[in-house]
Amino acid sequence: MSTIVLPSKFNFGYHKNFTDQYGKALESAPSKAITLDFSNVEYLDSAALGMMVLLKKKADAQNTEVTIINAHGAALDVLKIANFQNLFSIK
Amino acid sequence: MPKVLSKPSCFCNGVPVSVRNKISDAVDFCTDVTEITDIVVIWISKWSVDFNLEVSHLRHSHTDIAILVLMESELESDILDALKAGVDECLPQAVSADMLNLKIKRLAASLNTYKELSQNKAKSNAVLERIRQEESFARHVYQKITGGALEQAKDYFSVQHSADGFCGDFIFEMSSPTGIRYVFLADAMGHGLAAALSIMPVIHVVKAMAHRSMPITTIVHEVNRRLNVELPDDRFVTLAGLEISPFSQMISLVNAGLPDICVLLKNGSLESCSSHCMPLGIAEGSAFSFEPYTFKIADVSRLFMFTDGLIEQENHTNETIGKEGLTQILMDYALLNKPWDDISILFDEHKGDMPLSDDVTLCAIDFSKFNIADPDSGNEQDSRNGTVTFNLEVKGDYLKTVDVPAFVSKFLYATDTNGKIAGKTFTAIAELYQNGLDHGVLNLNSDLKNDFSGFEEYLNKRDKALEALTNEDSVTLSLSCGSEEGIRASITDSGLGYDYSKVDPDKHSLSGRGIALVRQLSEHLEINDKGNQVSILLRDN
Repeated sequence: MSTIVLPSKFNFGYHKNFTDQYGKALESAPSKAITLDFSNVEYLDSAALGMMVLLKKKADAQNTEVTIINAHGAALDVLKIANFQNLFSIK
Repeated sequence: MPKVLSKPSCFCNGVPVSVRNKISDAVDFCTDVTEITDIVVIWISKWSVDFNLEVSHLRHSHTDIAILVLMESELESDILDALKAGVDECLPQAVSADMLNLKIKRLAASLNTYKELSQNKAKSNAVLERIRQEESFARHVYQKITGGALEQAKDYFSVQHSADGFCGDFIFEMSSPTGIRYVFLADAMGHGLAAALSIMPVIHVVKAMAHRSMPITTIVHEVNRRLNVELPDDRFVTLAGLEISPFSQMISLVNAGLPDICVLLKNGSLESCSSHCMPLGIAEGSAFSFEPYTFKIADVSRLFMFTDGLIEQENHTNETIGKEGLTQILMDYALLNKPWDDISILFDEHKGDMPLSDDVTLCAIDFSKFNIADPDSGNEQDSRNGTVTFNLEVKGDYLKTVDVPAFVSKFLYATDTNGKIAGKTFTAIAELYQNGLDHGVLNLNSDLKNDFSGFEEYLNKRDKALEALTNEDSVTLSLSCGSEEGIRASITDSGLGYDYSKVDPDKHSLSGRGIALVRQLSEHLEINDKGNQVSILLRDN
């Protein structure tokens, strides 16, 4: 399982870092699960939601499960508003 | 009467000398403000007890004169009584003129030395008083500057002794708006004012970053970078930092140069978290790396951290408390539930009359009493009257670099707007600003973000559009808050306007959900007819 620890501001500016990390995670053969750790995330914008959808599409194509952990506060609110609990397992 | 004293007044080594036949005359003479004398020679037949009071009076009213008594009586008891009464010198009348002259010269020299010492003492006292006043002002300013970080919660124990007027140890606690708690213990090299000043950059960085809920590792990295740049090469700060997150239910701990931090687990075992990185301010950012210690909050009973001054303080037999000794004491206190205040008494008993060799600080956290926010609970209702309004217009090239959401964050911080509404406000305005800039001013099409390569193309087009900005391009933010009004924000861009009715993303869309997100966060959202201004109202519910 690969864990991607996200920054306090998860927005467009984290695009390259994020795609690099999940790209490596999807390349590693044994990894059939990716965890997005939201412990530090205070804010995410719609671009971040878009990046997560892209990750979800790529992960589904490889039969890899994506889980969100430790989401809280405004970040959790945004995920719920966007109904991302229907796309990801949020723990 | 000795011939040498035939004049009622004369000078000896530049010192005025007056001669009187009665002590009462001497008192009257000295009380007369028109007369100046330093040595009074009183010529009497024999000592009388009545003179005791007169001499005492003379002594008290004129502390800077010397009294020499010349007595016809040669009785030792009379001479002794005179000296006991406070005269400086007492000679029998039969003394030679040379001897009397020598005695007066000695008294004059002694008096000059005394006056010189008195003047130097007065100067020293004046300097000390000025230093004391400056230190008092400096302490006042220092406390004001650092005060915001020092609003310590009372749910943990700390004790501190300063070896100097200013303390180079600093313990401070902060909470992020969302409820993450941070506790820091810093010990600047040395002690006194220089050490205290070294702590100030630490406070500033921690205050700013903790308010943004930054992870402890990021905060410590930034503190190290700032100290590395700002402190002289021979100065550094050791620091222990805790981050207690109610969301992850974890304690993250960093020890940069302090003695081992003791973590007592609920299963009874003791974990020692030794320093795992260099003191802050020495290594440059790239050479500074570490992994924090982590514990589940549920597993930890108590945590102790302290500065080296505590374990290195010597008693009167030059024995120190030592790391092992202190650990044992702390374990006893924890396991037997002894009152922590007794630790101070224990330390004072150990130190005795020995001076403090360094600043001393101990912090003990009992996690059964440490307040950790409930991540699901709301904040207290804001009961303040009035409103605060903030307007910001960013034009031209400044659109490339000005971090508008950072202004929003500072506004929320300055207005003490915390909790969910702060998060909602920041998210909504950051989203609207990004929309205003990217789609209004830069005229970028978000459909590009629908696949991976589109993201790259979007970024390239964005960079090119930013390079072509003119002074006519602008984004304006108006933001106001008040307890009754809620938070109102309006974002206006200089673009041609956008038809928001076209936006209808499904859950699998990679773009186009920004305005839908803001609509959900807001109690009310309004877009002007042109489509270049979005106004929102947010409330804490």
